[in-house]
Amino acid sequence: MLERKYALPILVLATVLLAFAITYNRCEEAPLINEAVLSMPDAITVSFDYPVAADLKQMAEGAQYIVIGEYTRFNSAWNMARDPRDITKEDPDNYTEGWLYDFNVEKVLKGSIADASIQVNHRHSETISVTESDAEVNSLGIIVKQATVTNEVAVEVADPTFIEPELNSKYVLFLCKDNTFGYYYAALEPFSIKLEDKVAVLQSNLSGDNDPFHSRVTASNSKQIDVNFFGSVSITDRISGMSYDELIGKIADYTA
Amino acid sequence: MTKLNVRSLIHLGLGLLSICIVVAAFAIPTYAYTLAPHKLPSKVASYTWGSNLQTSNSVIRNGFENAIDDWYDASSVVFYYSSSSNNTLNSIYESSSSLYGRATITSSNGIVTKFTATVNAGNSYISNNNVARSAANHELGHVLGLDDKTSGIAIMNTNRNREITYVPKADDIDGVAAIYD
Repeated sequence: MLERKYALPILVLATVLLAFAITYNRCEEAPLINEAVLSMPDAITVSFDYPVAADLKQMAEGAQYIVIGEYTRFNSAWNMARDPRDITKEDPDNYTEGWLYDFNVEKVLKGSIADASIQVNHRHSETISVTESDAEVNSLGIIVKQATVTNEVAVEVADPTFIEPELNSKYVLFLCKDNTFGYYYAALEPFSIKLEDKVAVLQSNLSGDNDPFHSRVTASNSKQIDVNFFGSVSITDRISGMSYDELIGKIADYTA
Repeated sequence: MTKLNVRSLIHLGLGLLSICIVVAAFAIPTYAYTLAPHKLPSKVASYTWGSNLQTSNSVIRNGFENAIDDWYDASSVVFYYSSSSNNTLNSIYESSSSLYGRATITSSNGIVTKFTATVNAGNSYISNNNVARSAANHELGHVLGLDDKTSGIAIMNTNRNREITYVPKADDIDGVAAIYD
């Protein structure tokens, strides 16, 4: 009789203890990775998935249009990030700056372009928002305590593939067209070959000794943040040094 | 008889050596993964849908859902949904751009504290299901700690045909194993 009397409370107690044990174990499995103090990451990594061409053949095949001509002037800067619900408007949450250049088309090697002058967009830079907060986040990425203090820090980073074109110099460009805005843009990376005295010079940060893919910026709270770009693949430049005739001949072969 | 045995042994030895060379040549990967300077705390991570992927059945959301399954099948990586997650899967619309996807990852001491993986709805090829899935898998590969490469059969190869290579391949799986196993 006595045993029956205590059976229910013991069962309830056991259930509570079991539930506590399970909860405790879960907390053990997911420790906090942000302390309950104002914390700021020490590194930002931005990855891109964009098409990279390994050689001239891939550049020629990947482009919808190939043109020879000259940049005549810098036209304007604009926000390439658009509101997905209405792409005529800017994205209120993202800012990616494009630089538009007027380009005088002298010869079309691939595709059909009726206009003598086109606008070519170069991806120039983007603004990344980094949050400094006292939120607690566990190792599974779950916010276990909402932030009471939040500082949004804007970090502007240059696009590591950007190379400012030289006005009134000859270039061969490998392009696609944005039918909404009418702008032409890089079909892939690299997409530009400069012609210096009828000799080709490939324009790409992927093949040079420069390292624009790793930098350090100072946030508004003076903290140093490393900025690493993925897409820092290197390519072998087999184009620079080609004569104009050789270059045009090969492009003709690849686009035939 | 002894001469014959010695000769047979030499032939046997040379034969085995040749087999070893051939096997070794095929066993050494021509292209190996490269690693990023960060990794997730473990192979289990939460995510929530960003403002542009709240509704199901879009090409990009389907791409991410398939990619989540693909990484689980390939490397037992678990990405699970939680509305309380600090991590986001989303789409952006970047126009006049050949960008397929982008991931922004913040880390402290090499451990990921937050990630936002996005696929670009403004890319003219992204309406293809395989291309969207390929881009989503590539970005999740970055989240896991894999870097880009330009050759070989791998989801991290920026040179890949995205209609054909849209799930993690052996090289990607080896990379994730090197990080977490």
